[in-house]
Amino acid sequence: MNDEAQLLEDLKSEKNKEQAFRTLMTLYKERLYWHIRNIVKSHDDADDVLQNTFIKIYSNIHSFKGDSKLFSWIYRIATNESITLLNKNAKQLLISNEDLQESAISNLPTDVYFDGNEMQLKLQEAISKLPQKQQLVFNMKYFQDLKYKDIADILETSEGALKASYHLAVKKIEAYLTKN
Amino acid sequence: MSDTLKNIKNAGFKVPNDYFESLEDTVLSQMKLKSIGDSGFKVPNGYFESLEDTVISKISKNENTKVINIFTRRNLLYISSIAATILLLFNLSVFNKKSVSFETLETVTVENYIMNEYIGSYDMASLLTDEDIVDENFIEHNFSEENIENYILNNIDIEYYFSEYK
Repeated sequence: MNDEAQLLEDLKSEKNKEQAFRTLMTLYKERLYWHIRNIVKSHDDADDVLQNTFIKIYSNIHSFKGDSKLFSWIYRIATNESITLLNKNAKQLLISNEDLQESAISNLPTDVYFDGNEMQLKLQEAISKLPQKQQLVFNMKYFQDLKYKDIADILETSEGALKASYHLAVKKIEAYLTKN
Repeated sequence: MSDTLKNIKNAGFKVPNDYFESLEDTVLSQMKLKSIGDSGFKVPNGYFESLEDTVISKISKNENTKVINIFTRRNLLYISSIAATILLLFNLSVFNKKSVSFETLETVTVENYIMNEYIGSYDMASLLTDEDIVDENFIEHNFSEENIENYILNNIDIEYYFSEYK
């Protein structure tokens, strides 16, 4: 039995559940954190989403059928939780998602947990101008270096569409950086 | 080399349209971006080290949450007052399906009603249809002359009618 299958079995067993869950968290925490952080921008939000994601994984592990990879399933939960938080924040503040993003970016310079230079800030601005899905694809490919196949599993989109989306995103970002 | 092999010149691989045309652009863009470095996002010291413990303790807390007792005094009070209200309504005629129809009314009741309420002659008349007034209402009584004479003599002031000065 391979590692993932063993981990799954332990996660679903009463006896080994907690230890297996710790193992899973150790395996995924950093990757998931950065995936989430790229979407929600602030550390505090990323921390909330990451913890909620793990709690959701723990609660729903029994419903994981194994028809996709554990990895894809986990990332999918993290992605959905991130977007849900953004939508919730926008709704609470009675502003659009775009406006929320804009305000998040404008807060970066004063954010203790952002020490990017001017170019890095401009890059964040450029990314925030993209459509939401394109942002996801760009972040996953550019910052996290995920394979197209994995991104396709997570976002449930074809690889071809993702490649096209990514190349378009790169072009738009480059144009933005050049203009600004 | 075999003949077959000599004839296979092309490996059979294909490239997407415009692949080479856009390649330079794509690679250059990527390189420019890569020169920017990472995202600039930072994480608090020790954040990842304590994460597992934080999450596990949250899960334990969720599992040990106090079960809220629905049978509190306040709830029982609400429930019993609602039940009492419903019972009361069932006993009132509001819920009685027995409807009042004309047939169930006693004649006396109707007569009393007509006598006590002022039902003007116009109201009464509006209830009458042409059909109500039938010939039978003006029954042809075969009054005997004698009875008629008696009636006239006893009930009518004949002097008045014979008087010249009316």
